Amino acid sequence: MFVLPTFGLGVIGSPTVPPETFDTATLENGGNGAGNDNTLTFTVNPSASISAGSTLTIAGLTGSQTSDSGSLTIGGAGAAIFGSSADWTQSSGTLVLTVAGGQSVPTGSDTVITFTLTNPATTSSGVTGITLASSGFTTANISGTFLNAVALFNVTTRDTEANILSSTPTNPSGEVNIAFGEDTNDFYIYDGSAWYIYKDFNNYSINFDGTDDYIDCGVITGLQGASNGAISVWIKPDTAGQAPNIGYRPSASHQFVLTFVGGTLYFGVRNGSTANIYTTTAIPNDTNWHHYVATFTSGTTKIYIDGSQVAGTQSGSNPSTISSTSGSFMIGRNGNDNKYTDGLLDEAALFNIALSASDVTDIYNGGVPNDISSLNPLGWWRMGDNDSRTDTTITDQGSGSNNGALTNGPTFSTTVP
Amino acid sequence: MRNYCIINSDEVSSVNFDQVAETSADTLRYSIDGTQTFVKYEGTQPSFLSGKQEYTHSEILAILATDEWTSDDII
Repeated sequence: MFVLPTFGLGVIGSPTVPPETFDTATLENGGNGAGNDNTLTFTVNPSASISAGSTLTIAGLTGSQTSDSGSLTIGGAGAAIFGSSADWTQSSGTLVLTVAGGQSVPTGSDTVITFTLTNPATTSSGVTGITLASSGFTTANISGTFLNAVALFNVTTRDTEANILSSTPTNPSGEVNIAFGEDTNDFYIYDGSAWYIYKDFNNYSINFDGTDDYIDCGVITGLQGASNGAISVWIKPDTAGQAPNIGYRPSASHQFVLTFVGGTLYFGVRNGSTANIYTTTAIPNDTNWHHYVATFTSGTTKIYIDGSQVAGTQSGSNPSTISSTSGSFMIGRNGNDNKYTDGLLDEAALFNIALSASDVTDIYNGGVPNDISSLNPLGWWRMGDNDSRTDTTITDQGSGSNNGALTNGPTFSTTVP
Repeated sequence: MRNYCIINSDEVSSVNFDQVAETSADTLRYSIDGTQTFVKYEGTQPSFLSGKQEYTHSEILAILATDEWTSDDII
């Protein structure tokens, strides 16, 4: 049988129902005569091509005398796409169409099918023939499992003697279908009976121009006064050798922040007069993606780059807790100071727990962002993933509910680590 | 393509924030002495900036890196 593909960033999920909309979907009732055979015409034009294995359920066909059948005959030009039959259920008034192997429902043109149901034997009160939903037939009458794809490959699995290994009624040739999401890097595989999705975890980042743009995450109460803390962020700098600016810094004497200045990265943990500034110059001298973590754990300060702790110098002594002075946590800027980031940032996270070296290794995940929810981040700003991207809000997917506000024009990017 | 214009602080009231990338007057970045700020926009220069010199991204970054715009405070 086939071997499931291994994606470094893949999360194996269950069969899914990708969203779908329709430019048009109509159903014409062929006739109202009591007891007559009634030929109905269904027309659909989806907003994106719907691929093999998808199902379309037409609902609202109540009142028919036609008994349940697993093979109601369908006709019309669209029958080549859906096959010659569909599943009819009288009690629910639904007809389920399945896109045949090697076929797809196109977008940009109407696909038409016809099918025949029998009207009620008797009619009354002016209600005759097949009864659609009270509001009439709309796209809301269509549901199902839709698969959008920009490419569809048929992969036949055979044994070493070239015999086809699998055979199912819906996939008699033994093909395994593979498809890619229309507007994502999601990957789908059809094993002959069901579609499975392999979701691409990370598709978006945020591009900062380094002049004045940043994300304002507001005051994070869970950080203030904490005895442990950590910042994690991915950066792809526009200029080689630059590091991220991110953190909380309402003033010079109250901060929990990463500041990059002149080739040096400063991790400032200051609570009034007690201050520790940890510095490192071990900045990768390229414009590739790199992962930075700064940890403040029980009086010890460390910086990790790409999963490994880097050498640095500590000046001063660590305060017992992070400052409680009110101030916004900012991404792309070192708090309220004027150091900004020129480049892409992604998967920023804030913790108020002790992160171990092993935790950092897990977050780095060999260079590919991964689901870090098991580490209970206080803040987790995914820069557009699992988010609407329709406004200036970056949803906090950590526990703190501190949504970020895109400020001064940073933009979404599909370049990701 | 994004362009940038430096304006005097007393001109902020004339900025139409629907025509620039900056969010509001409250989020503008000011020079160290507080006398200047800047705005950015895509494409054509908004009319309220007429006569102002336009800078490219690399040009404004060079300006912002000077002591006039970036404090000496390291952290």
